Amino acid sequence: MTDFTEHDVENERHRADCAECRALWTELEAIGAEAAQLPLLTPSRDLWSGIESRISGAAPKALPFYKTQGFRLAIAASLLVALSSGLTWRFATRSAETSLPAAALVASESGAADAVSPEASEMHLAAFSASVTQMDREIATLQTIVTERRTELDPQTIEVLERNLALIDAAITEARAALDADPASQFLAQQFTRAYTSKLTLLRGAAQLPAGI
Amino acid sequence: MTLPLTLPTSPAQPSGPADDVALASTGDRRAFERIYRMHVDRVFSICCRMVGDRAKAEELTQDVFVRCWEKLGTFRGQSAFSTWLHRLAVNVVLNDREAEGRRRSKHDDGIEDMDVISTADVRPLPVPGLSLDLEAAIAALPAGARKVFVLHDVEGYTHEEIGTMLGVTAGGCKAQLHRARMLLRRMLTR
Repeated sequence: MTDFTEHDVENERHRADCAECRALWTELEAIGAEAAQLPLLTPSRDLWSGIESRISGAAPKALPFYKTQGFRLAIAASLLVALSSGLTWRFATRSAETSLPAAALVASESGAADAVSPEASEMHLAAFSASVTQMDREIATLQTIVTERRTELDPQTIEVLERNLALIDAAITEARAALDADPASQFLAQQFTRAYTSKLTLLRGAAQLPAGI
Repeated sequence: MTLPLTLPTSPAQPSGPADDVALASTGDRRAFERIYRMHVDRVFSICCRMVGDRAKAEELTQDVFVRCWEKLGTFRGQSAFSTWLHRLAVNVVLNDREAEGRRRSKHDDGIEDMDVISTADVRPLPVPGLSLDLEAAIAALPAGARKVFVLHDVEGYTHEEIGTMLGVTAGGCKAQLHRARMLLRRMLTR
């Protein structure tokens, strides 16, 4: 009878049939329940003076920098920046080769794809679209990091950042609208690309700003 | 003349325990004293019941708060401060017991002594022949059984958590708990 342990299925089955073991089990459970209700104990004397004398002159150890939230965000931002720099380069290189992909993308999104050469569009659209989608994702991630860092950054920095982001977003919207009207324009495609890249650059910088700036 | 029941507080003082933890982690000893006053009974209770000796428990309680002060900057707020502090208290007690066990090389202090359930393991009773209250009976348990009983039945840790703390399996912990309850039953009903 002394061999059983709680939560043991066989013992539970045994207890169902054995009144003696069931009674013992109930007693043992009651001891546990009583223990859970024991009141708090109080030391016989005030221990603070002894503690205070041992801690005086020593400050609590700070959390190592590598364990801080700021460090983890900085690492995340650095990795993201490294990744997005490569993608931006690809994005810019492709746009320099021909403005048609950008125009095709914007035109296709706005329903004006028939205004662009179908051959050029087919050649670049898939890869270009993937790049822009990737950049959209990275912009979203960078924006999350910047949002999480709001409390670390100087309010004036935040204000400047938000003002500039609003300007860039307006430029992106404007370029997109202009491309809707003239999908074959190389100049407008470059403006669109430039605005997009500026947004990434600004967010990257904000994600990596040291705290307090 | 009646003495005030609580210490006067100034309006400039922080409003809650979370503020005190933040202040203390920057080296504010007054804030740390408030933390001490708020948690000392709980910490002392853990220490006292785990070691079964009030004088030793008072020493350990001081050790816990000194250790807490040293480590406060590493508290990340991922759990409640009280949970963090109580776990710290358990660790301080276990480390002390381990160090003492190594010094004395005693066999009856370990968790391995779980097969035999005998009152021969139990410490001498304060008043031989009389039944004990639960508190005194816990103090009279062998160290291994007492640790598991206090951690599980009094402090509410799971067998898995206790197993991790003590370096034993959850099954071993269950067996030790059963042993502790059997010994307590024997002491309480004699």
